[in-house]
Amino acid sequence: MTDAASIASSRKAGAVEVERPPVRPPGIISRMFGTPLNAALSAVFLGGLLWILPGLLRWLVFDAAFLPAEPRTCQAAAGACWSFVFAKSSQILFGIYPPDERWRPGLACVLILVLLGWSVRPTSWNGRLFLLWAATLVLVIWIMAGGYGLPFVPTSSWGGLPVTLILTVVAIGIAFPLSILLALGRRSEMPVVSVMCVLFIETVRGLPLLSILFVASIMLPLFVPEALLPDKFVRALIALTLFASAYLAEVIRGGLQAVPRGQYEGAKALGLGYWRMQRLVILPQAIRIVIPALANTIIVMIKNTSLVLVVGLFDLISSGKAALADPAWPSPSAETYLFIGAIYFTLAFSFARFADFLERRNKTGH
Amino acid sequence: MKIKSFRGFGISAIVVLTIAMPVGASAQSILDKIKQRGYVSCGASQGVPGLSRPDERGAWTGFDVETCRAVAVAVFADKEKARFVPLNAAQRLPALQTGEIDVLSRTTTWTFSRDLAVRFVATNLFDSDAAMVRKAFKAETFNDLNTATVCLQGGGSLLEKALDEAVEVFKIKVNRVYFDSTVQARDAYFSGRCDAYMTDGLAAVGQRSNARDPDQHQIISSGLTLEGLGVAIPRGDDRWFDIVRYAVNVLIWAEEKGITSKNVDEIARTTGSAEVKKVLGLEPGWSRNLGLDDKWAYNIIKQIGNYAEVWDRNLGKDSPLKAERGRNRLFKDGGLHFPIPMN
Amino acid sequence: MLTYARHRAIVLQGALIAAVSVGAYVLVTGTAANLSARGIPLGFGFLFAPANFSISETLLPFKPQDPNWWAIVVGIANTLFVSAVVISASSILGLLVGIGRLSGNPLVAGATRVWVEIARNTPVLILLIFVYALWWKILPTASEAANPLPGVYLSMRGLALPLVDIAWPPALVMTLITCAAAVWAARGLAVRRQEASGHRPAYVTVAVAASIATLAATAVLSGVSATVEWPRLGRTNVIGGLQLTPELTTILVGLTIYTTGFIAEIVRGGILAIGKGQWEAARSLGLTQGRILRLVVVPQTLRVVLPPLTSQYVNVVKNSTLAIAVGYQDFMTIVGTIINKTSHAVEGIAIILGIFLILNLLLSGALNWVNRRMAIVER
Repeated sequence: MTDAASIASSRKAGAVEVERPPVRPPGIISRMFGTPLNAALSAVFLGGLLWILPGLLRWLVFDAAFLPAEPRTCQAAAGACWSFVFAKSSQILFGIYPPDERWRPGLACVLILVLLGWSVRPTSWNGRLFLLWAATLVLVIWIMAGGYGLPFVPTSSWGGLPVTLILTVVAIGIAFPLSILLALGRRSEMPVVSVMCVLFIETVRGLPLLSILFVASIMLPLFVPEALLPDKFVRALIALTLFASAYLAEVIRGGLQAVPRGQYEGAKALGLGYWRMQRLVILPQAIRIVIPALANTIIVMIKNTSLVLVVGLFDLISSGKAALADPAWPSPSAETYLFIGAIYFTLAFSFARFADFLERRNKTGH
Repeated sequence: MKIKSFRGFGISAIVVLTIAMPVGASAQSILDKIKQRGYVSCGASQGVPGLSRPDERGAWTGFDVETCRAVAVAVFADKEKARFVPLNAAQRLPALQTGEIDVLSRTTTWTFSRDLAVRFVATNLFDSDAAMVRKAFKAETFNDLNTATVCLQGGGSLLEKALDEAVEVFKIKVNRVYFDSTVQARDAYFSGRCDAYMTDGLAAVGQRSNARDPDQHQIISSGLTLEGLGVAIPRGDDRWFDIVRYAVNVLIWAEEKGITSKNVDEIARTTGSAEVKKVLGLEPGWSRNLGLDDKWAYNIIKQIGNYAEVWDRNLGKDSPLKAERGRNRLFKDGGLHFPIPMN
Repeated sequence: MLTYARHRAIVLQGALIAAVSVGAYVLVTGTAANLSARGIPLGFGFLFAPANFSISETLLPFKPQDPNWWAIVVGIANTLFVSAVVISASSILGLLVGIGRLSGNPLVAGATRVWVEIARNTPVLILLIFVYALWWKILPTASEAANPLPGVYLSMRGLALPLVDIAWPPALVMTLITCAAAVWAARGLAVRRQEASGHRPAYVTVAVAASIATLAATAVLSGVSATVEWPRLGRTNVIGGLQLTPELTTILVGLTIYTTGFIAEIVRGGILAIGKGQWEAARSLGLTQGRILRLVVVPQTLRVVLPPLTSQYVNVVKNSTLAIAVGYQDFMTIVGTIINKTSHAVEGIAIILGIFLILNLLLSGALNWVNRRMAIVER
């Protein structure tokens, strides 16, 4: 039931729309005002739009302060104070990273984003892509942390967008294989294995990420001796990874359940062992089925990185808060959060469009 | 039929690796731990102007920050060997208890129950509660706050208690709105959500300058509270207690003796006082029992300065806040600070 | 071969249990040693000490002299209240928005799409903070509060409504229960008639009308008295009446906007999953678009969407922990305050984890039970 439903909840069931018989689409006017209900709805929505838009535009654009990026432009303006965002963009984007070295987090972001863009092309999907990612991540960590020629910058000084990107990519990268093991473990015939996997998955899924991060930041030093204690960045990474793996495991389990029994039987008849059967026959099908749900989980994870401010990492939000504490400026909080929200939206939205593309590609591939 | 065994092995290996990490209590002293680690871990706020906040260059600044840097200088002779962990009100004491941070200097009021949980070492600032109100609201005392809505940081801060006390003493009724951080409480007040914004008196001056119209706001005090904002450390390490106490004390001591970062070298050359000579590191072995280099106090004065210099730079005349020093003057100038003699 | 494999499985599982137990043992003893080395005492005695702090907004009565455990209960009530309202509101809105997404009207489809995309691609924390900031941009100060209806004030200090305090006489309560039972019975009868004859009599309408008349009569006869407390404009605040603060409203509105986005997509997926044949069959019966949705599509969709809805509902409870960002004190905030005041961090976090696990397991357990019942009805 769960699997069928998670598929049903898919982001975009584009194929259903595609299959509709090609009727000449009615004109836009008749679609908006064709029936009394539609006309009424259109009127309500148009009215709302006309009511909201002028004030919004005035605040966003016409009455807003843009340049020069100085406090006095803000004090004078009746609308939004974008000059603050201009003046503080480097602080918001890179947190407390040393300013003379800020080209490094900038480069790190560009590297990750370019590679993400590259990975979108199906032609580049092969074993080499995995190696490319591993190499890039090592490179990114080196650029950020320094050593071997670059000045050393501790993770406590990392901040802003690169933290968001690195946490997302690495947490999902580690969580994905882990979640496959958990999903297989949950379906295992060995009761101990399956009970333990169920316990882990359901516990993590029952807890707010905020509380897991709280444990990671405040309680971990009690559980683990100082020598083995990872720094805050790694702790946040571990918490996010565990969280992601529990959610991804449930998604993948849905896919595993949706693979017809015949596939298992066929694979066994071919004499494939358990791992080879999973790797070559079952998992590729299962994962293809759950791509929409996987994409949703990954988007949730991108957004979840906004909570690491709890462990004292300077992600975009806490960098924004720090910028807002500058006594030289009035405190344009709505503008700052809008800016940060736009960054997250861009990341998540582009990923969502990529997921749509993948889904359509898989549908037509059959 | 190897299937199951293989699968079981893979999964159990993962589980074992993730769970069975060796664990044990460490009996290491805090100083050894810090030296091994290479930096002092300081608790800081999430951004209070003048006290602790990262500036746009990413450097932590503020009075509380420099207090902790003084400790780093004592240990490493380098004020950059301090790292800051931003903490909210609810996290700061657990962070100290669990050893996450070595020193907490983050507008933490010294109280009995807190002192049983962590170890307060010294008072680096004296402060009273304050409420920022619009001039148009026409409030001269807390009496006038009757029926007002008050924004403040929640999470068990002493301000909550101060407000509760004021409500009782002045027999007033207020609506409270609690926030996670001072920045949010302040912004809510500036936006008009509240008639008053309660905060520490020192922070209030700095935060008024965040208003679009700073002249339209005034700061009033209940006059009921006087708080010592303390520097705290984990319990159970007397050596670390000594180091932090005297690192903070040297700031006040130097001001009393008229020693500044500018004239410290000259005074070291010309002074006739045996106490000054000793503290400036000219008597070999004087701080062997602290486990520190003889030059530690000299280094603090040279790199950080004395109390007055730290004040002026962060809160006083050289800062955008221009706060009155008031109670935080030395006792000889009418304030509450006095140094422990260093002889 | 088979017994050999079974043997291996048993040995491996035994090893797994042993490893986990050893790990747990080392973890517990190590933690205990760490706690005593750092002089951190453990114990739940602090729960019975007076809380000594105030909570700005509570559903249950609370004063600073009450014990800490009561503060925690008050916090749980606050969390449950927010969760319950958000779950109900976003379920209804999610259904509407989900249907709106499939509308042929480009305005409706576009607007609902914008809603869904914003909700799904923005972190909930930012959405909450932003909705909160919008209050100040849009609403007037309290002294110039909008007064659209007598006794209704809307300003950045919140929404004030007249507080109607009804004294419930026992006779009225009894009548109310009787009427509810009568309506229920009428519905049962109507359904039975429909199954027998294919024609559904209007029993329910009749029963509801009769009930309202009876209730009104009882109310007049038993002398029901209602006192109304009207809000009025104070110096800078609206005083009295039923006050809905901006903080509570923001967490309700913000979380509802967010959750609606997700539920709408689940609903849309569910509707699209209904075969085209269902639509065609219903249309050939001559049903209108609205009745097809109500009678054919939605009931079937409900079954498909219930499992993913379950996890969204659990998410609501979890997301409510972000309430403090907009100044509403939920359960986790209150435990955080207690930790700060008493320094019992380990116990406090254990309470947080324990309560959330129980709440969420209960919630998903209940929904799974509903789901199983619906699934059986289907067959």
